[in-house]
Parts: sequence; structure tokens; C-alpha cells
Amino acid sequence: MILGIFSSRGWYRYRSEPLAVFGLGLLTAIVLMAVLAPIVTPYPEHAGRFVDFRNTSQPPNWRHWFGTDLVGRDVLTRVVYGYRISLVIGFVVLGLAAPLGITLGLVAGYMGGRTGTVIMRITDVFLAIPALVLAMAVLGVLERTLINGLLALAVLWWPWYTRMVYNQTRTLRHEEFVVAAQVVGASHAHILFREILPNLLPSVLTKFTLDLGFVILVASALSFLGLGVEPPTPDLGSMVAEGATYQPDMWWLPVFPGLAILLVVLAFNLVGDGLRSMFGDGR
Amino acid sequence: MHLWRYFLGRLLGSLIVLFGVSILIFGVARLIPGDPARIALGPMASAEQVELMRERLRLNEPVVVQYGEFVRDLLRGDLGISLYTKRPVTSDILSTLPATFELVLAAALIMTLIGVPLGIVAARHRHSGVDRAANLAALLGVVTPSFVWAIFLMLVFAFALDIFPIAGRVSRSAELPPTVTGLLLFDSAIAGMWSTFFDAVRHIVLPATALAMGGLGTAARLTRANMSEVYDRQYVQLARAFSYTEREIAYKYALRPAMVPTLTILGLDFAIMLGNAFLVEMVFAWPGMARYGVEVIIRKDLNGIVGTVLVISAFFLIINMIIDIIVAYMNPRIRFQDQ
Repeated sequence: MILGIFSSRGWYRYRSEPLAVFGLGLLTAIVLMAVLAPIVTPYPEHAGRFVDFRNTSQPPNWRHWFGTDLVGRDVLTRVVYGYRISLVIGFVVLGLAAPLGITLGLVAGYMGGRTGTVIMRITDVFLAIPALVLAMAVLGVLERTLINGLLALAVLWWPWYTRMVYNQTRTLRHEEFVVAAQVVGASHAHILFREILPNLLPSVLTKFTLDLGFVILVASALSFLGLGVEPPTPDLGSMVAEGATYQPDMWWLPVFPGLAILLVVLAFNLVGDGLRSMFGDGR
Repeated sequence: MHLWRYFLGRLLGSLIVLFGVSILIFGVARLIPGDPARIALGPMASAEQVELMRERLRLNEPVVVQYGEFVRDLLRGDLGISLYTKRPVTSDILSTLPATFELVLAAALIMTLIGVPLGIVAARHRHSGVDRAANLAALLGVVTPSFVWAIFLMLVFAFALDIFPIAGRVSRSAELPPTVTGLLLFDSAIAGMWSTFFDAVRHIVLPATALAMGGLGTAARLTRANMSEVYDRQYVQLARAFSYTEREIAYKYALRPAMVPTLTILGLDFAIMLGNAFLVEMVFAWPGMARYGVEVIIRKDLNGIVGTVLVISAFFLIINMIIDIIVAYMNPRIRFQDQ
């Protein structure tokens, strides 16, 4: 029931939402493009350090669907490669933040008392600083490497999982199945991860999917401000920032990477919404 | 009476959180690799100059002492000297904060005045074309980064259609009103300088809209979802049975309980807007805190970073407190839950 996505009933419910199906298709297309970037992009060599001064700043045309940038690189190729880095950022950040946040939330919710209060107060502190500002501060202080960028984003994302899991654990901890496990002498770890956690998986999975999009969004905002990965690695946020300087004459420079960000966040959102209604929380 | 007690409790809670924020951000700023004094002075400075700077920044003392003195200064409103502008951080921030405040306020207004009614219409006509369109619009608002909105809006309405100005807060030729609040719209209105006022309005429309788009979508979706929930309640059915009109049911019965959870989440949206204001200000060259904030971060100006983050967090906590109090006023169960 928990991994209802694999059951035919879950899939039936998911399929009944046209937008969710569209989102899944869009997401599949984006992921496939990103994975197969060296094969599907027209000019894979344009992803790195490449200069072609005969083809600089071309508006969109048949050879370059999204136009070319200031040094003659194909924007479409760079957008597809930009998806690669975005997706990696999304999965790594949440791969770090979600387990940490979930564990803390489980402990705080189940133990309650002083331990719970301390954990939740620390969570409040992190939530009181606007996410983007906190990430900027951490990134500004550290060396500007991809690893530090990932860490900065993970630092600001874990509290959301802690808060959500905490609230749900609080409602579950006096349920009979938990009490039963306590009575037969199950360890705390067993109760937290084998008894309580499985009940939270639907909401965690939904949030994880939605958040993949939002992590990508915030990461692109950071690189838009010049706090992202270093050039020449193609990155959607910094492509928008670079292009913004040359509008309106070279409108294709910011517009296509901007649309690309919008589409990937949209895809994750639609799939997340679909999962939510599949797990029976939709109305 | 009870509301008063609730307010004091919230105030205390916010102060504790702010205290935690100050420890957190102070700690983060001390993670700067290398010597902040050397970074501030540049490679040409002599060892003595660097030592003098370290002394001035109290970098030679233990971190706990540094923090203690930092808090003592903070209570007097002194955030130290910016290593980048060489001016007090407090005055740097105070000179740019009103512009950011004005922008965020305008965005919040747009978000509420458009987002909430959109949600109401969608909830009243569930599963209709209007509902679907509102849902899609809301979704697009949420998934598009505010800097992308900013650039799209600028390309269409400033460059292509030429309806609104491209950048800045007011035209260069405009006469500036005497500073009372620092909010240009407010100041020019009370000074009766209407040409400046309308000029400022024209300037704020695009950046505020770009900033509002994300929250607008959330506001609409939340209002719709929460109102839909109320519509399923029995008292709404009862009202229908008594042949109240749908309009009366929507505004008298469904809206108020639906606004309580909506408002709470919108408070969190404020945090997002405060962060996004940085992005939108960069695009529209809005003279707010963004340029300063980004500049101090890139130059590893530790006093500037601590000050900026602290002020923004305090701003956010105050707004959330106000919202919590409005919510408590609207929903007595929250006020009385401790008793």
C-alpha cells in the first residue's frame, strides 16, 4: 500500500489526473535528455570551453533552435547540459537533507519532552531565516565550489522535513501499533524506522518530489546571483543572469534557460501533486 | 486580555528565535576561510595594518567573547563597521531597507488582492473551466523563479510594449519628497506630490508583480483548497438548506475559517519574498538591500553578512508575529488552547 505507485490501483488513480500524466511525461523527457545529453544535443562540444566567433549572438534559427550566445555556443545544447547539473543538485541536496530532517523529526516527535523541544527550537531558528538568504550567507562565507553549494542548500532544507515528520509522529506515537511494539520490547530504532516511518512515506515521497523542483529553483536563483557553479559549466541560472545583461536585443539568451527552469520545476510539481492525490490526500 | 497574553507569549518566542538566529549566523560568519582582516584590506596591506584591523574587529579574542561583545553592541543598534563600504552596517542597511520594504509590501498587496479572490472564484466553481484556469495560473506562478518572471515582464511590458519603465524606483527628473518613512509612495502621497507618486507607482508595478507571482499562486491554491474543505462541512449544507445564496455562504461561512490556515502559510511566503526580493531588485536595479547584500557576501564582509541576515530575519519574525496575532484574533481556539 505504501509503495502504491507500483500497484495497479495507485497507478489507476494517478492516471486519472491528466495534468499529473502530462507532468510525468515532461519529467521523463527532461531526465532522458539530460542523461543522454552527449547523444541528443546537436553540438555537445559547446557545453564546455568552446568559441566560434563566426557564429556569435545568432537569433534562433534552423541550425540553432535557441540561438547562440556571445561566443557562438549553441544555447539549446547548453540548456540540456544545464539540466544535468540541475538534476544532480536536486537529488544530492535532498539525499542529504531529507534523511537528516526525517530522523530528527522522528526523534523529536517520538521522544517529546526536552529533547523534542530543543530539536524543534533549533528547527525554528533555521526556518526563521529566509532560505535564499541563508544559503547566500553560507555560500558567501565558504569557497564557491559545487560541494559547498550542495551543502548550503542541504543546510536550509532539512528543517522542513523535521517539522513535517515531527507533526505526524506526534499524532502516531500513541497509536496502538506503536504501544504494541513497545510492549513486546522493540528498540527505539525499530519503532521509529520500522513502525512509524513506513506510515509517513506517502507524505515524505510527495514532499520529496515537489521539493526536487524547488531545490532546482533555489539553486538556479543562487547561480543567478553569481553564487553557483563556476563557468564554463553550463548552468541555467547563470545563463539567465548573463543573458539578462543583453536584453532586449538578445532576448533568447535569458528566455530559453528561464523557460527551461520553469519546465523542470513544473514537471516535478505536477508529478508531486499527482502522487498526493494518488495517496488519497487530494480533493 | 487573553489576546494580550498570547501576544506576549509570541513576542517572547520570537525573541528567543532571533537570539538563536544571531548565534547561527555569527557562527556561520566565523567559518570564513582565511583572515577576514586580510581580505578586507587587500594583499597590499602591511602586517601591522592587518594586526590593527584584527584588533578592531576583536578577532584575537575567543569566539565566545566576540559573540558577547557583538550582542552588547547589537542591543545598542550597532552592527559594526562594514569592511566593504567602511561605513557602519546599521546605517548602510537603514538607507536601503525602506526601498526593499516598500517593494515587498507592494508585492504582498498584489499577492493578497489577486491571489485570494482567484482562490475564492475557483472554490465557488469547483471543477469548472474557471477553476482549471486558476489552478494552472497558480501553478505557473509557483514554478517560475521570480527572476525569470522579472525578465519576462521586463521584456514584454517595458521593452516591447513600453508601458512601464525599465528600471529604478523613480524617474531621474522626479522631484523627491522629504523623507518621513522612507517609503517613497507613502512620503510622496502625504507631501501631496502626486506626479512623483504616480511616477513611483509606475516604477514599482513590474518588480512588485514579479515578486508577487510565486505567492499569488500559493495564495490562490490555498484559499481554494481550504474553502473547498469548508464547503464539505455540514453547516454549509445547513445554510444551503435554509436557502442562503451561494454568495452569502461563500463570504459569511466559508471564507473566514478558510483564511486561518491560508494566512499562516502566507506568513511563510513572506520569507520567500524577502529572499526573492534580492533577485528581483537585481533585475530591475531597485535601490534596496539586494545589491548591498550580494556585495557584502561576495566580498566576505563578515559584519555586513551578519547584519543583513539578522535584519531580514527580524523583519520576517515581526511579520509572522503580526500574522499569528491576526489569526488568533480570527480563531479563538488558538488563543485559548493553553488554558
